[in-house]
Amino acid sequence: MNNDDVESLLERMPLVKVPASLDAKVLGRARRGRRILFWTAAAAGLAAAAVVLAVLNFGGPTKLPPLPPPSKEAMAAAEPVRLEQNWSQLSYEGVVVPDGRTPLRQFRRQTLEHVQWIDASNGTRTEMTIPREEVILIKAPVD
Amino acid sequence: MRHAIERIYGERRQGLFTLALAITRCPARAEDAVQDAFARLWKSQARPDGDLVPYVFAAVRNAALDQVRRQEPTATAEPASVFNGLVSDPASEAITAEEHGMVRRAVDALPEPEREAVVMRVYGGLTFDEMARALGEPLQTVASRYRRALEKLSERIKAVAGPSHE
Repeated sequence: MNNDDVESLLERMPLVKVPASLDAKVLGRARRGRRILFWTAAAAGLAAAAVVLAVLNFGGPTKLPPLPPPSKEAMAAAEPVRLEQNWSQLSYEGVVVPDGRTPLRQFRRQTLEHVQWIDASNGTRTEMTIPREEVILIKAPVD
Repeated sequence: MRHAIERIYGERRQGLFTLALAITRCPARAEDAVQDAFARLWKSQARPDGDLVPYVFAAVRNAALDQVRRQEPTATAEPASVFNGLVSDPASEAITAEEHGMVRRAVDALPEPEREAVVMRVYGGLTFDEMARALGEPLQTVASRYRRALEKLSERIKAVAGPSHE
């Protein structure tokens, strides 16, 4: 019996299987961490938006003198401008039980990403719109 | 990195659990060790270079060794094997009951470092290079240890089985 034979015997041995509870413990923790990250990012985004709104509102309207039109040379030398706008909404869709056992709260997030490139040198404008939809499931507490 | 570690768990969970079981010799402690290791990995801010597989195996091994250190010295439970009881299935090419008993006893009798090497290589699917990185030892040392373990297993199986397994 050589080493290959021993390896072959070892490969055919039935192992103690991974307990089903381990998957829930390991992956549940990973997903919980990801949800915390998502909500932290969402909260940070909302806070940033609130700050921008506050600055715009409390800064008050300021009248600026009209700018002179740019020269033809400046227009020709200008780099294309990239403008990006994002819209997002989160809606709660109630409790679902996909596997018949675990109640989950279902949220739907719809996002629209709109990007424009404006080239002042030749007056062209390129636009791209990317719609996205995500369904987020969060384990509902069971009393 | 989270996604990569989650993928490694999905692909190698059996090997990781078997390694923890080979060290702790207790299924409940092995489960705790894998759970602890991944809890540390999720929290960790470290960004190791290169292949993450040895890094994850090293984390599970360390957590299993921690479990052994925390074990009550008075615990008298019989050490568990990494092998399950043989389920007879005549239709499959399953191992015979005789072979099962011989291999199980031979593997359980190996010194822990050699048993670890066998589990990492055969059930974890690690290369010698990955094993060396997981254990923090030179590649040659790890490869020799594995070969020595196979030779011991071969000798023990031959001694018990006689000429039919020569």
